[in-house]
Amino acid sequence: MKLKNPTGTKRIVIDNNDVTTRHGAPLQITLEDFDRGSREFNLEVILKGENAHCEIQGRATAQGEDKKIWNVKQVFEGKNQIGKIELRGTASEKSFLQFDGTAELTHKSVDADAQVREKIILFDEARGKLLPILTVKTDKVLGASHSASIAPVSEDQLLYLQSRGISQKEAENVLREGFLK
Amino acid sequence: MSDPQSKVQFQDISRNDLDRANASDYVHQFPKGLNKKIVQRISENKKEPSWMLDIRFRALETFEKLPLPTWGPDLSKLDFKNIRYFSTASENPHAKSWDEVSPEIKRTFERLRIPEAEKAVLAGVGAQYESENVYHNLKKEWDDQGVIFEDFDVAVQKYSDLVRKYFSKCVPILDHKFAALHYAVTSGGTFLYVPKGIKITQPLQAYFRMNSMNQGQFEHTLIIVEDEADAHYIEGCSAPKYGSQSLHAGCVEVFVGKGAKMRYSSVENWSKDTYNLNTKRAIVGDHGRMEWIGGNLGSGVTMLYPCSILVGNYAQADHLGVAFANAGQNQDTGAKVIIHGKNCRSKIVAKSLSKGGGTSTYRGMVSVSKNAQNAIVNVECDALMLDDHSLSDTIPHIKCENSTASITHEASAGKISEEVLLYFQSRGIDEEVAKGMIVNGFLDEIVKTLPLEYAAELNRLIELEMEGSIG
Repeated sequence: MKLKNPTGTKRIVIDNNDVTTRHGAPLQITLEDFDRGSREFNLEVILKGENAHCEIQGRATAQGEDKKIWNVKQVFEGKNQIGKIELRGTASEKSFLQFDGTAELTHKSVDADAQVREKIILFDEARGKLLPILTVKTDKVLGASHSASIAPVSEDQLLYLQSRGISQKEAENVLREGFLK
Repeated sequence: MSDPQSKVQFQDISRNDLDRANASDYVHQFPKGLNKKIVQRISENKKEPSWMLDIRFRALETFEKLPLPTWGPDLSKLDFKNIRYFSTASENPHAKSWDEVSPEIKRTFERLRIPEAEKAVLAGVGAQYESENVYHNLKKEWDDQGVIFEDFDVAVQKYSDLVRKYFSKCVPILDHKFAALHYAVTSGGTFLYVPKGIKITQPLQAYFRMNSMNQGQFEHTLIIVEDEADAHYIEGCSAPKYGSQSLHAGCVEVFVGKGAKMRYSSVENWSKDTYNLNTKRAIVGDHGRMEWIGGNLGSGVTMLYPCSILVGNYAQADHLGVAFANAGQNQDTGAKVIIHGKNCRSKIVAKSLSKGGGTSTYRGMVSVSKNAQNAIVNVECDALMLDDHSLSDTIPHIKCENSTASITHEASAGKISEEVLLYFQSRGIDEEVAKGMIVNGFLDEIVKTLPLEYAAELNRLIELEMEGSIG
């Protein structure tokens, strides 16, 4: 499932009767937003069936005066479920980018493997906000972890490209594209 | 610095020592509830300068206007009318020698090993019972170098100008409802002033004890560490268990000068009837360094977020904390780091444990403002759940307005690994003992920063919680 420039609110339930994932095949959800504009998007994925597996990959860029907010949540309600959220973005000029990623392990979840990863690279005067939430209501957890980072683009990599005659702006673009692959 | 005997100082502390109340004759016991008259009487009792009373009245007005927070643990059952905001139990407050302290009060502190620790390893001690300091002393060698370590009420009189310059400038009256409440009824606490270049080599300690039912404690701790100075302050606290609410809304303000270093350690162990709504904040100057080290074990409801505001360049703040939520407890703690200066660094390590249905939440905020170049912040939170009824949440806010910053956060939540437990058991170690050892290992990073005696106390208190003998 691929969502381009997503906006509004979307709710998906992964159930052995609804969206079926057989033999551990994951439901891949790709979120992409590289276009100009301000958008707010909320996604909630409820993992109900046993062995449900969902991987959400999100890539976003914010430029100019864009304001983009993504709120992505996975709710674990069954046995042996796997859920991964990976959100990566860059923000440049005067834009604002926000990622709220939540893994919610309810008391019904058993042996869940939950991961939330959020990373933003900021350029110029852009601003970023991250909120990776982990809510755990059971001790039967296989793994529940999250990580988040905001960093500037690597100085070393920039220098490498510039020393080979590539302008700073172009070098930033190349590194941005690589980061968002 | 410490003799071999002190290593076993805390080994035989039992929950009884902390939970048992003292029969005391109270000198003053104001009626319960809060109004302008009570605030006025508190100020008169202390013979305060008029500027203090002005602050109190403004704070009371603010308290009445501000709403309760809409996030975090439920505070709706806290009955403000049923709390006693001021009581004193001593005929001779502010004693400088333990002999002058009344016997029953002295016994409370002896059971907690305070006088012993003072002789052996501390530079100074303050002991507060209910609303007043009953004992406050500083070793002569530090007094001679210009260090001021005084009961806050005494400092307001004796060092009025100095106190007035800094009081409420770090945590403003309007900051939140419980800061306002604090400023209205504040009583007791510590004033610590460390002059330029003085490095105090032994820790200073304050111990706070609430004794009567429905008591509130609102001590104010004001610490000023001048340029290039260095100090370590430790705070401990406890209150007996009555089955009826008590409230702690203290406040700690710390000012760290250029190139100065301050370490603030605290082991909080109020009874499970207590609402612990404390505010702790530090403002750090160029090349200054602030360390917050905390263990939160007691209290029914805790909302505590030590905050470091790095205004200077090359300023640093380290936050290390452990929170243990047992049955009926809701520990909502975290760290706030706000960076304004350039090239600042901060490291936050938060460990939480939950057991028996307790809820343990890490609620943090890292904020890098627009002009804060090259900030580096690392946050690590780990939650260990000791059974299947407990709850754990991690809610770390990260806000960044400068593109040169590097902020990383990692967290994990889980239970004690079956394999690790099996390893211990297969070598003849009992399951409960093994769990205890694993928990100690989990907390090691924080415990090892405490002076040996306090590390031993913290370990002992955690052992008690693990035993499950606590109600």
